[in-house]
Amino acid sequence: MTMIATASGFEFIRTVLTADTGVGGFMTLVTGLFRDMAPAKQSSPWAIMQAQSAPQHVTTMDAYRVMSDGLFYVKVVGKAETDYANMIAAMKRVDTLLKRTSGNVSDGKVLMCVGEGEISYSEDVDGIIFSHLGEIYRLLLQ
Amino acid sequence: MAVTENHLGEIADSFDDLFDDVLDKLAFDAEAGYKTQIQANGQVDTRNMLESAFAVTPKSSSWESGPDREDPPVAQPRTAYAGISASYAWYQNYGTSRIPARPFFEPVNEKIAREADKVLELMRKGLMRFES
Repeated sequence: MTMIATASGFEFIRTVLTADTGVGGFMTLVTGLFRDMAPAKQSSPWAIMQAQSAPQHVTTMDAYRVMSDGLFYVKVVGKAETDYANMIAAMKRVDTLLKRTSGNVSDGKVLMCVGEGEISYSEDVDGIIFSHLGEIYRLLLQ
Repeated sequence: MAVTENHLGEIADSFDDLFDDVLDKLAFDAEAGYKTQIQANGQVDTRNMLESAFAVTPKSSSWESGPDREDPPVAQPRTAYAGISASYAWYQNYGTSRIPARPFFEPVNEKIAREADKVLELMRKGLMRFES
């Protein structure tokens, strides 16, 4: 089966996270989930998913693709002063939903999704401190 | 009467040298990789971030001071560091609220990790041949 591993990775993350709509669910804690960057004027906190290292194919000696191995991150971005508690709650939901998971996507499978490390930094935007809090996940896709 | 011929110390020392050579190569390959990726991503303006890519190994260091740069890691035995010391590299690598991420760190680290696996496998095979 042919698959574009990057697109499949995004599909997996989006499907899992956007389904979490119950009380205290991920989608109730952020204003949206976006690939690469949020639209201008998006109200905070929002979530970003990004392919941080493009999936590399693992092949057999005769070039049969066994799986693809890539790094993706999910982070929540918000105002440090007012959004941080929600951001922590949102990232806890992300970790619960994605760590050590697997699942199907439309043109294949995610064999494994594991957290590899956290991202945490801040920036000053016109005098307002925005925090970025996230996790890098390794996805094995087939 | 006994004669002692014990060269284990010399052998161990030669392994230390070998490991240091391997670490040196991997770290400086990483530094070169960061520079290549930063240029490929079009992230060169003042060249400060590009030139802040560094490697610190038991044998040498390429860290240089410059504007907005973090201090270098302290060299340790059997340890090599590679990175970008410009303090704003985070924003370029992971994005901000206004600019998307343009990663240069993880893509190179992944490549170096694969290279390290290959080197370690070659060393392991060499040791197995030595044993037999």
